Order: sequence, then C-alpha cells, then structure tokens
Amino acid sequence: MNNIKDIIKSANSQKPDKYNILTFPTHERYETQLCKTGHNFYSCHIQNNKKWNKEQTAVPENYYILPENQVINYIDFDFILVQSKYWQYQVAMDIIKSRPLPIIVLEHTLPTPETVSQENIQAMKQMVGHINVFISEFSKSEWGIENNSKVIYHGVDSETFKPIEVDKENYILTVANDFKNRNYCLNYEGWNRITENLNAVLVGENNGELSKACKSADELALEYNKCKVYLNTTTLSPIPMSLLEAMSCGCAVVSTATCMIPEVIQDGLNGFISNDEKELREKTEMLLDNEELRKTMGENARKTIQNMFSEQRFLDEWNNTFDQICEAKKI
Amino acid sequence: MKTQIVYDDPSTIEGFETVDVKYGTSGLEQIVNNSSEEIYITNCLDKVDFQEANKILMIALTKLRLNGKIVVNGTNLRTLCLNVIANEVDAENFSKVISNCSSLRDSSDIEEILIQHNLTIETNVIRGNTYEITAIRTNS
Repeated sequence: MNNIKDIIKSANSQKPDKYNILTFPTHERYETQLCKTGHNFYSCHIQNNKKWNKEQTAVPENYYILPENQVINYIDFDFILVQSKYWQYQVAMDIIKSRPLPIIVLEHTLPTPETVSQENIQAMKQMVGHINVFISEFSKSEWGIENNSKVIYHGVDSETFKPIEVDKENYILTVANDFKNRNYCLNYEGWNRITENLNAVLVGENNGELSKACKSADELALEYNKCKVYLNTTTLSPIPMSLLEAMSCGCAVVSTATCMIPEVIQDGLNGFISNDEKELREKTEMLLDNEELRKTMGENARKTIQNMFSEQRFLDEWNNTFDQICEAKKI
Repeated sequence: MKTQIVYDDPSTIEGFETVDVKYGTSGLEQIVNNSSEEIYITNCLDKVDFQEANKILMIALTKLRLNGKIVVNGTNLRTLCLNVIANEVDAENFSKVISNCSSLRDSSDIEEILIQHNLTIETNVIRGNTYEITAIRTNS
C-alpha cells in the first residue's frame, strides 16, 4: 500500500514542508538538535534496545515515539535515518523489505578494534546508506566509506552554551557518561592519573557511582561556567561534544590530541593538547593558577566554536541532506 | 498538534494527542477547533456503530486546521464482500473480521463525506480488506 501511496504522492505533491523521518533513539542531545530542523522525527523503539532517556533530556515536541516494536503503516515516512550499525541498520533493512525507503546512515562512532572484531568491522563497512554522514573527516577516513559520503560537523547551541557571569570554583571538570565502562575510548584510567590529588569533578551518567548527569542543558552550561579548567581525556572519540560545549562556554580546555581534536584546538591558542599525560597535568595546573591565560584561551575557544560549529550551519547542512535524499527517492 | 483517535488501543504514538473514543466523544470535543495539523483515525470507526462513526468523523473534521491532513483507515465493506464472494475470504475469517466490528462502510462513503466537507483527497488506497484515506483541508 505504501508503495502505491508513495507513487501517488510523488506524482502529485510538491516538496513537503516537513519530512517524516523514521529514526531510532541514539544520542538524545544530538537528536534534540536535529529536531531543530523542524521536521517530524518518528522514533522506532525496539524491545531490549536503547530508549530515549527522558530523565536526562526532554523529548522535543516534534519527536514522536512509536509503540514498541511497531512501524506504523499510516505514517508516510520519507526516509530512514539510521544512527547505529549495531542494531538499527539491521532493523532498517527489515523495514525496507515492505516499505522501500531511502536510508541515511549517520555514523557517530569510529571502528574500534578494541571492542569489535576485525570481521565485524569489515561487515559494518558494508552497511551503507543512500547517503552516509560522518561527524568528522577523521571518522570518514577511518571508516573508509567514500561513496555518497559527507561530513556534517556537530553544531553547538552557543546560546545555551555561553559564558555566564558566575564565580569560578577551583576545580577541573570532565563530562562523561558511562566513563569506567568506556575506558577504551574515554580513557577513564588516564583521567585518574592526570587528575590524581587535583580537585577534579566528574559530571555525567555513571550509575550514580562516580557522578550524576545534569538534568538540563542549562544546568550543564552552568557546570562548564563554574569550573576553572575543562579536561578531556578521550582517546577514541571523533570529536567529543562535551569538549565543544565547554569551549563554547568560554572554558579553558586541556585535551588529548586524538582523532579530530587537533583540527579544532591549536595548542596554546584556544586550548592545550597533548598525548603525554604528564604534559596534560602540567598544562592543567598552569591554567588553574593563571586567570589571565584562562580568560584568553576561553575567549579564543568560544570564537573557534562559533566559526566551526555553528548550529545554523549544522541545521542547514542537515536540511540539505534531507532534501538530497528525498530528491534521490523521486528518481 | 497531531491527534490520534483510537478505540481502546494502547499502542499509540507518544507525542501525539491521543483520544480514546471507547466511552464517547467528550475527549475529542474538548480539543480546540482547527487546532490539529494532522489527525489520524486509526482502526477506530469500525469499532463503533454507524451513527457514532459519523459523529466521530464530523467532530474530528472540526478540529483540523487549514492545510491540515486527516488519515482514516478501517475495514472496507465492498472489498470484504467481494473477497467473500470470490472465496478469497472464507466464512471463518469473515467471522473474525466482523466480530471486531460494530459497523462497516466503504472507503468511497468516507471519501464522499470528506469531499462534502471541502477536503481534498490525497490518496485512497485499498490493501486486502482495509482502506486508508489521506485528505487535506484545502479551504475553510
């Protein structure tokens, strides 16, 4: 039935004001930002897989959650947005057997031989969509998927994540969810070594053991503003959103120089980067003691975010991608 | 706002304004007129008697805003009967279908009502024994 409807619709109608996008719950914050494109996002919830975490992030008005394990027939979806090759891609393949829809594959992660076998990584490299979107050039080159591929950098809401007049407190902040379990990419052990005997604060969902997540983006922005230094220790993350948010808040940042980070941070200008733990600690201590340096670096960091990661650019590029996939669908 | 009108169906879409008409139309009536951009009447009209189905449809139309979309689906009377005559549907399956229904109608009847109320039919598609109509309110 949907095939026939699609043919009739494409023959009769102009480009819709809003696309109906079938997707899956993945990164609440990223998806909240995607929702600012104004399209309708229908989220397919599959039993025993990730659900939208409402305690952490409110569901946007144009994000609709489908009944569990159901893809509603009476909604005319325009395309599928897959955000994970671990389970979503497979579900999408099942869906298109009865509803042939074009697929955008958005890749948030990197191939990680530490946790996934080479055989599985090879298989995942075959899981491509009609358009493949990566969040950094680094990520795109690591996956080695060239056909119909593009890079859309994160967008940072620089109105929410902005400098606020607040008294700085003498601590180093790191934001990370599931930090211990994701040691292989977030480098929890390195973080422990670098911050040993320093006043370090962790924010993020860590089973209540290490820390708790902020309840809203505003609360998180306040955390970034209160700290003197933001420390990022990731070793395998294309571009950590928390690092960008911290920079947007005008934080002085110290970070590992991995993946796309050296493309964003110029050492000594808008932050400090190094892959030497001793040096990371020294730079952190230096910033804790030097207010003027923190201020200059923080201002430069915010400028970088406004130039490279503007939210409007992010939304425009996604809107173009959505138009592109729908044009391809007509053909 | 998007509205979904159902009859005793727990599998609704979270984020839609859901109205269950099992115990009447008061919930539906409370929605502000012309406020819904999309209305879905799904697996619902068959479950109520003929007059009640008309009433639900009429009230729903008053809630639809200009350029808003309404989607109605249900069992298609004519197709079901033709399938019985053609032995595509046997007595057992026919009984199953009608055991869940309090009324049946043809998609062309729904289409006619929608057209009479100044809606433009976008699609009217039959699959198996069911119809699904999508219409747009193009003028007031």
